[in-house]
Amino acid sequence: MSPTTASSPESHESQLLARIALRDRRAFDELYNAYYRRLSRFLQRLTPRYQFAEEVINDTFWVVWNKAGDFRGAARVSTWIMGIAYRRALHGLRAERSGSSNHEPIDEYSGSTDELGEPHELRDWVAKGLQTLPVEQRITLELAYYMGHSCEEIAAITGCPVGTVKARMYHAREKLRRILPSLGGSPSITLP
Amino acid sequence: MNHRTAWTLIPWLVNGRASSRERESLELHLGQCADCRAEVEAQRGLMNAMQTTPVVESMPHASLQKLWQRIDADPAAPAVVPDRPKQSRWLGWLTAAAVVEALLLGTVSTLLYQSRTGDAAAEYRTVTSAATAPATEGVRAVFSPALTIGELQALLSQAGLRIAGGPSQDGVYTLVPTTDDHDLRQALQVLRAHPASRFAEAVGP
Repeated sequence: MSPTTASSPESHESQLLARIALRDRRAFDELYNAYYRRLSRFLQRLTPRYQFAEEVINDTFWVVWNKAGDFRGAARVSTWIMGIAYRRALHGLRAERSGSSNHEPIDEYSGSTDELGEPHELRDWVAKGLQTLPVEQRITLELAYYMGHSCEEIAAITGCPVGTVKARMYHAREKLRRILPSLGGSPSITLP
Repeated sequence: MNHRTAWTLIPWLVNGRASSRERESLELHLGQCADCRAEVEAQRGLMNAMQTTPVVESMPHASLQKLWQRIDADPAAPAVVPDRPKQSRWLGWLTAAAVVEALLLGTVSTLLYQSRTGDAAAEYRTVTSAATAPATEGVRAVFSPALTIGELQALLSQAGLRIAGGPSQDGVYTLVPTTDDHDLRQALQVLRAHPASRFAEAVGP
């Protein structure tokens, strides 16, 4: 094994997890700090409530602390942790919606382009445009474009087939193209 | 590769996670398809906009303390390391690998230290120190200790940055652009996208 392979970030995280399984608190602190910022940014894209992000992160790492010994290395550590965070976030978002006066099913949620107002910068348009997407499509976009995951990793994180990931990405791109014409891009294909 | 397959794969060409085979086939298609080329540019614009959208930044310390209180209050959680923990073969291997890793990291850290500091000329800085600002506009960054010298050099080359100072006792590097007209925002995106990047922020002169 080369030194590069032995000390790659993925290998290092696997070893941290092995130490966490043995109740090593310093290893847990290191893994928590390593993931906190990116998880926090990712979750704040799903809801603007900072407290929600903190709750999901701590719920996620509660599972990491208690289930580290069950991790078998079949997936990357980041995929495993993101999968836990995804399920916790989805659960929390659905609970929020069911508790609110708006009982619209989360996968069918669709905002109006009228809500966009007149933002002056592309990133403002994008931020508001993302809020109009169903949460599954928004998460797929975030996992690909903000977190940098492959299609297969997103399938593992979200627990769905690769074809579903591609379909969600397709519909997200289509909707954003309609409401954000300044993005440009080509006419779409038609999915079967 | 047909148009439909190419169009579907474009997001993972844009985020750099398409396989080498997919990338080669897609690039061949792009040479012949103006629609897909336009779509690549559109998706790049979308990705850049998503990566630069600001969010509330926070420090993890307080959240971590809350979690430790929750863990420590849980009567079901074992409070101490068991004498003979029940391990899977995979876990046992990983534990052994952790020891090897520690030795390798020690060697790499020593090499890093020697290559960056020389003798007594080391200039340690902290994130909050006023002395950390470089003479020109630059970046303050922290990387995972697992990052090797070669990986760090490759990352800085990709970002168009060089080391102007550090690492400090806190592991903070002060980085400056290799050229005067370098796009610092793009350099920050490259750094932040790397999995070994723990912190990267612009600092003024």
